[in-house]
Amino acid sequence: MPHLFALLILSLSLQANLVDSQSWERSRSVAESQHEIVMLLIRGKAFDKVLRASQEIFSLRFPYNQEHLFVTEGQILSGALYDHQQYELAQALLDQALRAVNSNNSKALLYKEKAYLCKQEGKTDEAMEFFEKAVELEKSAP
Amino acid sequence: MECLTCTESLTAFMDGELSPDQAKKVEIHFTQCTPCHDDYQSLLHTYQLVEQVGLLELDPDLWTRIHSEITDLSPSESTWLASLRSLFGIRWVPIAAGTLGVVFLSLFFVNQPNPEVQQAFHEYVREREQLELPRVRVSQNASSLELRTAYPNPFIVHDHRPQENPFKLE
Repeated sequence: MPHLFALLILSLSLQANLVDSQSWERSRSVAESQHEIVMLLIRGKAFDKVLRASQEIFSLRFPYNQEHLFVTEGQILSGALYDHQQYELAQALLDQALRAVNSNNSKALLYKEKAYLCKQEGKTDEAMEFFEKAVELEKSAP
Repeated sequence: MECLTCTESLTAFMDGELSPDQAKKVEIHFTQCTPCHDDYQSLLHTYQLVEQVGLLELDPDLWTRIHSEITDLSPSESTWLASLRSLFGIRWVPIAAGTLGVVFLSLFFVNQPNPEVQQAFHEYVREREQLELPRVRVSQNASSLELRTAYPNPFIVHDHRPQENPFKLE
């Protein structure tokens, strides 16, 4: 009887993992397509639609160990917006990414990106504020 | 009588406050001393001019109004500012300016970023700039920059399996 019970638990656990894996794969696939949509919007200079489209990516549920993809996405999209002189939009997009991540390290990386963009824009004081925030988050990270 | 004594007694003489004996002495001095006599004449003329000006008719309510203006001072004026004035007198202005200066300076130094963090930031910016992909202008007229390479999609899973058609004949 105990063997049967253990087998049942093992089978349920495997099934849950399979569902998680499928769910993650679906989210990744959606994010991949949505990234191309956002890039098309940026290239087409349809900037007013960018944040709504990027929110579709950042509202997806990613596993904790895949959170770095949100960071990379924030860096890439904000960089593309910056190249089109859409400085405020770039910052707003990084804010979206900040809301999507949980770990302090991910947040620190995004704050550093905000600092970098501010520096490029000549806003040195603001850049230092973001960078200091990033350093604090890194210190408090486990 | 000496001139100094005469000058000191002049107003009292004019007001009739001197004794008859002293008044007589002053009068005698005037007949002997021209400068003192001239002073007397000048003062006499001033007295006459003042007498010509009639008394001002003041509004009977004037004092009441002045009194109420003084007593109705705002509490802030009558309390903290008044106490500050009474404490420091006229010196409160430079003291207050000095205090404000110290406060501003301390705020300035407190808000200065940590030099270590500044150094770390400069290093980060330098490293980050090296990571930048090469950018080229789309055209001479284009105001914005584009990456020469496509922006990478971070969500793509790289599949390293061979992509060629296995059924294709060589």
